[in-house]
Amino acid sequence: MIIQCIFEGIVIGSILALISMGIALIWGVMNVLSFSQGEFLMIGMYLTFFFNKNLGLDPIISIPFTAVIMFALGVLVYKTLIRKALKGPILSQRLITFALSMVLVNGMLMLVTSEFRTIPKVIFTGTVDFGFLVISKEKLVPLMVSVLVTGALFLFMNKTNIGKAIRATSLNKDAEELVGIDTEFSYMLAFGIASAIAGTAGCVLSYYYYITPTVGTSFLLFGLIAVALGGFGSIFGAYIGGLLMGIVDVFAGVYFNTAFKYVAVCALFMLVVSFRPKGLFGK
Amino acid sequence: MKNYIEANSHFIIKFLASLLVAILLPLFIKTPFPLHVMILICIWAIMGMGWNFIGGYAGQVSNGHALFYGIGAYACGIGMKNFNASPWITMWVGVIISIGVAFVLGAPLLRLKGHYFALATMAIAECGRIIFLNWNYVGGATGVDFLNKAEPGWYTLQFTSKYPYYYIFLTFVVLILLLTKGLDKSKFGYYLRAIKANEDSAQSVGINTSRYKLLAFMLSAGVVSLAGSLYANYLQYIDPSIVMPLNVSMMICLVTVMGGIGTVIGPVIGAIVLTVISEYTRATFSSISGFDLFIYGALIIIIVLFLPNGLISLFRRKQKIRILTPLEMEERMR
Amino acid sequence: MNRKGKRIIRYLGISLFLIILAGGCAKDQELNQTDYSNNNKEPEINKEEETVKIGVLLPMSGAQSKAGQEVRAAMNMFVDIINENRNDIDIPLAQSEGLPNLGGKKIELVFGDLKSADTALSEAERLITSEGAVGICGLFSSANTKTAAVSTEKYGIPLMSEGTSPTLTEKGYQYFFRVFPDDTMYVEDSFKYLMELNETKQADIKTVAFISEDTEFGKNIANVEKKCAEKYGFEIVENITYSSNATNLISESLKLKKSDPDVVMMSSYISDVILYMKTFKQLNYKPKMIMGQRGGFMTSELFTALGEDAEGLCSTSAWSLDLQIPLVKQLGDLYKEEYSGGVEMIADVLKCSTDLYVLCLAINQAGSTDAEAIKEAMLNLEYPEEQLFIAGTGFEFNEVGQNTAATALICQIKDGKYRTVYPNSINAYEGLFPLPPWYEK
Repeated sequence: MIIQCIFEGIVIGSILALISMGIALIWGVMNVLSFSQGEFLMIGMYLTFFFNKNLGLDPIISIPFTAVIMFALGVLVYKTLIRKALKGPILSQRLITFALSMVLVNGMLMLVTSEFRTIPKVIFTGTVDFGFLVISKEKLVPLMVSVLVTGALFLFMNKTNIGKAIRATSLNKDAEELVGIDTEFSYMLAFGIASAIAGTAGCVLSYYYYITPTVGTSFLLFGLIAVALGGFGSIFGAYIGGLLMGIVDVFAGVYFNTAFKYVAVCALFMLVVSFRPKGLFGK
Repeated sequence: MKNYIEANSHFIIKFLASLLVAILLPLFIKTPFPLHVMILICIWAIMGMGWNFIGGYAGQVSNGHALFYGIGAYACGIGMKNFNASPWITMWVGVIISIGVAFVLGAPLLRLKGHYFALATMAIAECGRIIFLNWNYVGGATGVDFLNKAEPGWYTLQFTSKYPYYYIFLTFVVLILLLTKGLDKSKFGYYLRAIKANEDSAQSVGINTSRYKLLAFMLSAGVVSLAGSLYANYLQYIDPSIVMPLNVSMMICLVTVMGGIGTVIGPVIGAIVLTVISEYTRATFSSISGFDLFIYGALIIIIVLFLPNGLISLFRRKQKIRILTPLEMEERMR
Repeated sequence: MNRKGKRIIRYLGISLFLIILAGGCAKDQELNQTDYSNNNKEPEINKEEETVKIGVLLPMSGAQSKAGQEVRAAMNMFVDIINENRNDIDIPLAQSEGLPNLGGKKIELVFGDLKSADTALSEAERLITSEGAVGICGLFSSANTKTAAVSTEKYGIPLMSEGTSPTLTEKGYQYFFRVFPDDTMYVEDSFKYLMELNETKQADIKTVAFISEDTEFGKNIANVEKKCAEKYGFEIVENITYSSNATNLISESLKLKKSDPDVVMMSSYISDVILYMKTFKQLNYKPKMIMGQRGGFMTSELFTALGEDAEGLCSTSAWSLDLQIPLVKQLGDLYKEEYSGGVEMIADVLKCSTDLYVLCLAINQAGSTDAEAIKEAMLNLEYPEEQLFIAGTGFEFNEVGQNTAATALICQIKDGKYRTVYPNSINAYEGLFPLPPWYEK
């Protein structure tokens, strides 16, 4: 049972980590708490759904397509909204992303109705039953993709020039402009990548999750908390934060009380920030 | 005194004029729906002004004030249902409980900065909602229903007509508005602004920042709780999903930010605009699924994007003494 | 921004604001000018109105709006049946145009949005006072009913609701009516069915587990279930409450798998039902029987979202397409072909639209739109039993507004359709017990 709990916790954690990755990126680079990230996840899920329905693509195969479209959408949103919002006070940036999420949810509701949809057939399906541990192949997908995306993002941010430029922007905007780094470009790229990651998360989540316009909202709070838990701006921290939350979530539910499992998650968060006000890996 | 009136003549004239309008307007309204909208405006105005103390003046953006709203509402609900106590008393009990909770939570919470404070308050409010949802004494998910048909009147604060509600709520709006106005130019207000502008420098000039932040937090919790009590008495049925959802916490911020954060009448203006948009778009476009909230969200984006200092910046033209807007303050900090 | 731009925005903004305000007010003023401030008397409904207006509250946004659209389609069907001359359908009011006792006045629906429980109050009030609705019905949950009732009780307007919580009838509402059974009846029948399975099929059911979501709907059912389980002598091995719209339901499912009850009774909304079934499947866990208490188990989305995985799920219900009554099939086909665009009629949709129909019956029988007269008619509603299209014996409302002649059913899903397995008198489908495992060995 304990092994099963740990496994499930890691799976949930890696999905949360994947969602929080985009939030961590935006937070770290632009210092904005993005409330619309959950809705990008939702749009990613719908893209996956329609790829599957109309072209017969499996969610895994549609990851690159969804990611590209979501990247473009993210850049578009940045160009039209966020760039202007960044000139305003921090609070209105947050509220604009909140209002944006409202617009996206209800726009989607008008387009596709609230009907709950699922993807009927996926490649990886079935279970491997060891008795003490049941591994569902559907769950290995998010696990793998989450590790891969985190790794790729980590390498991108630390090894490539563009990634280094983005990281540098997050440290000091004015200094970057002095040495000739285009902060505008970095911001745009960061926002685009964040939405692409949300889209990818949507792809893997739609493997077994239902799809409806309001689906992103419930993930958002926990995505945000995972980032804060890990320490802001730290990709690695967000990943660990997500995993930790997933494991606490499952254990609290099984061994304590299912009704209060989110209280346990929030308590963990409060405990961590009261000792480390900038999160586990925050500087 | 005379000096004070002279210095604030602008405010006093505007204040009295709008008060007159607010008092007379309902007399021309015959249907309850506009009156309902006006009552909601009062509630949101109180909440916005309450939140403004901590979020606007002290710059500690809390996204979890729904907790205090819920506490206020439950104090009245439980008081009426279980003890048959008058809301006139229980609303103050609610205020005291809220202040107490704010005092206990404030110490660890207010150490956090920026987004961390916002997220921590959000998490606390969410915990509060779950606890109330599973707490049998307060009715749990079934909520508290204290519709007391037998004895409407001043003691139970239950009326069949909407007019008394409106005027009672309006009185509270006026009282809290005057309180804000008083604090706006007081030492307390200036300390809070100093903390907002730069906490470290405020500390270095001898302001006990944590103490003032805590005071502002408690004050704002109390006022928001009052709004919760009033709303509960108006609705006569509460459950955690009505009074404690995450949305309420966000809307409180929105009211203040749209109107003009850190200003006296900003929250009132924000409440008027936001409530009218929200209620009338729902009444008008409700036949198309989701369209009303779509319009609502789009309007919020437009207003917040083009008027980052709030709607109040439209009405503010030349002023002899320029008060720094929050945006300018932030820019100077950079 | 420069000064000029600012000024333009200001004027634009103010004028937009005024237009919205004026638009909203104008709408109110066209209607009757009765002063509601003095509320000791009944609001006077304008007798000159061409039509009888009935307020309908439906969720227009959010997760339930799909169900709202279906209810709307079904209500339109009933309105057409009443308003037009449908000789082919053998139910009262169909053979005439409009309501015969009110001089052939037609029914008109006015809609409001049921976004959350607190909007139910204001929207009900708006429909009553601004739109002139003489009765309110809609797709209510129990919590929404409570807030809507604050308005309807205040103005003395009949409220037809299928909120199933037994607390609603205990409150002493004057103008509240429920046509279909409440939670107690549904849950009792679920346990009676289990007893019957034990007798006829040697099912050997001893243990039950409850899963309920944490809002009013789930909490109430959990309480009733607990009492009933003790009454009928079943052992409760797990009583799980979970947050609805949770991002995962792993720990709940793991707990359930660990305690391994014979029957799982669930009260969940559709989103959680989908997630539970997916999670059960991932854990390779299937109880012998899954008994849903309506909610998510009574939606057309269950089939589209779960497909084959929905096979064998049971749910309590109030109505089913396979009732042995010709009218049921006739109405079901009419709905499917002309109103819903191919979606089958399901119980919860029929329940809400029947509410509307019963309200119209009462208005017609009363011959007036006065609330007291409607209430009087409702309590003495005459309905020929051979023209019934629901299970039960008719419409006999008691003093608290509950229809005592209603019966609950239990349906099981077979080949993408609800098939009635209980009570035996209907005898439509024999039932499948225990459920087969997810994966064939």
